[in-house]
Amino acid sequence: MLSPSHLPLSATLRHDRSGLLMRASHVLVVVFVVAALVFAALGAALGDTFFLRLATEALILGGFALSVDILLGYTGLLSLGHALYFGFGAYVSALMLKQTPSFWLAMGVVLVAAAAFGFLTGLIANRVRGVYFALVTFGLAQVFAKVVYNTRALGASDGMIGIPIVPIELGVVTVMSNAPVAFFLFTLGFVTMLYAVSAYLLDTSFGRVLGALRANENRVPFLGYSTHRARLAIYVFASVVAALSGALYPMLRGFVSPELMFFAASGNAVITVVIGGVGTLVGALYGSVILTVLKSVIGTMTEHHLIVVGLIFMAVVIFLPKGLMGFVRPRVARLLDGGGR
Amino acid sequence: MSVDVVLQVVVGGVLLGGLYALVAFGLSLIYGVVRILNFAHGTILAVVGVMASVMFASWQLSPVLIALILVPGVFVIGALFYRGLLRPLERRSPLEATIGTVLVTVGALLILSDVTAVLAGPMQRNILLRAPVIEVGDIIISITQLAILAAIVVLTLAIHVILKTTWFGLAVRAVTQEPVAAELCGARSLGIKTLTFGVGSATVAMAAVLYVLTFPVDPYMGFGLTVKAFTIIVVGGIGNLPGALIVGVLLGVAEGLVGLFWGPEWSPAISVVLLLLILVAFPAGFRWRRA
Repeated sequence: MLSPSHLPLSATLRHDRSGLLMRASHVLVVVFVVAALVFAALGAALGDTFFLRLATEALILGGFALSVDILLGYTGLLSLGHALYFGFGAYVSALMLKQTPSFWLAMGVVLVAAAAFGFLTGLIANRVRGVYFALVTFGLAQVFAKVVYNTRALGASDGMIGIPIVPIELGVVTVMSNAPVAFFLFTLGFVTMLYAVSAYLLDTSFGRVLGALRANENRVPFLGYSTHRARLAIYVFASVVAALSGALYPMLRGFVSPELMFFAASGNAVITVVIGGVGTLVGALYGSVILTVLKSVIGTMTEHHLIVVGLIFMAVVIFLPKGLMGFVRPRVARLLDGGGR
Repeated sequence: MSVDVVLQVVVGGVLLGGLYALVAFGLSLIYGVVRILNFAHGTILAVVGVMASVMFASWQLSPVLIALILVPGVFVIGALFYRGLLRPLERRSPLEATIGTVLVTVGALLILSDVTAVLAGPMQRNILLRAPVIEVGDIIISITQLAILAAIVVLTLAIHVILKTTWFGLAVRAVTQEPVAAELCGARSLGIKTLTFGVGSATVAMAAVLYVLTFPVDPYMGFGLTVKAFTIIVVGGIGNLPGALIVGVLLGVAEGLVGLFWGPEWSPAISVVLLLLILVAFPAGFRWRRA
């Protein structure tokens, strides 16, 4: 069902379809990384700052969208409030960096705090299914965003500014967060790492249980697995991925604001995944680049960008239901399959 | 704080809550029958409210006439929206259909709000009727408010009677309870779903004209209203009209009182907190014992 019917599938492809499709995703990530490296080289040669920083933001949002695809594409959970964890990561990182500008300490704290926070909120969110899950995740994000919005100590509606420039020690080299090319490359590596870890996790037997959850949740308990535990575990994992992506945001922009947790941010992540292709993992990265480019182009043309965003939502759902990668990936898989014989 | 200020706020809250309940009736009908959560539901109120106030300001039409023009229009648009954009998605796999309907209705919400803001301006508007006021002790109630209250009661009764006595109402209740069995008994789902989408949208349009007579509307207020309406039907029970009315009024009063005692920035949070609490306590949705 993942491939269009007019493409005849070979027997091998049908036999190990998901493995082959995942390999196709890996190939597409390599293509993505190569294109990004070319872009970085061009940017460095031309001495550009603006586009490199915009592209870095696209990567960070791509990491966030990746976490939404883990929930939506691999487990069938539509979260309308996942920006809560992205914003949580950004705020925790900002608070830590204002105390001590140490990258690894901040990331470590974000990792642990997001896991705990994702666990606690996941207990609430995972009590319900389907549309109710979408509503509860939306509500949770709304409540926390409201609290942040009204809390003076967290900067209230203004957010927090003045996050210092952070040195990122990577053994041999040290990347400064305000160096456009270096920080872009670092973010590229970081997001690729998030992709690799996620892809690995989803390929384990735990990942297969999640796939079964998406396909038919009622049958999974009969195979001896706890649906509740699996759902909670992947929810915590997705929260951590979102928070780690969010932790890079204040390093790039130097500020955080409550908008990072608002519905618009959560909705953007979902549409990023839908544009890129639900359940492809790599689609989140491509989708994020497409959406960032579209938004900055539209943003320069008209201030009423919501009309265009709304039209894009509808057009993608109606004309490209499987997203860009849902269209490209089976073709790459066929090429791989043909090359293997 | 004096008692009459509190009472005044309660009166306003009852009125607001009654209008929330009307919005929730429409959503309840649609969600019960079509099983699609229309995120653009509250936006219909925002858009129709803005249109009504523009029509009043430019042509001085009577609100009744405005309702007679706008409500059938919204009925047709609602039915066409379902038939043209949402119906085709129902053929996809359940997950894809859910994602699809959420994104299409959210897309409709964004487009409607922004187009309205471009055409009519993003500011708050309402219709100011010069109506005499009645003073009960220190509480002031205008004739307009009384008329709105009467209209809410009449509309609620009308919807109740339609659901209980007509063939359409019977079909709606049957499909809400058991879609497959209803179809086997001759309730054609496509026709009923289309009609329900139209009727549900028209209900909001009626609420919109009443709303704009006392409360201000702006193009972007719709989404919060959808969340409130959904809270009301989750708490009051899907397809339970009296329950929705009670919960709606309680929500309206609670918002008014929280705004008074705690600060107006917190009152929109009540419905979300209530929704969370109810869903956490009753994961399958709140069920009242059926009579």
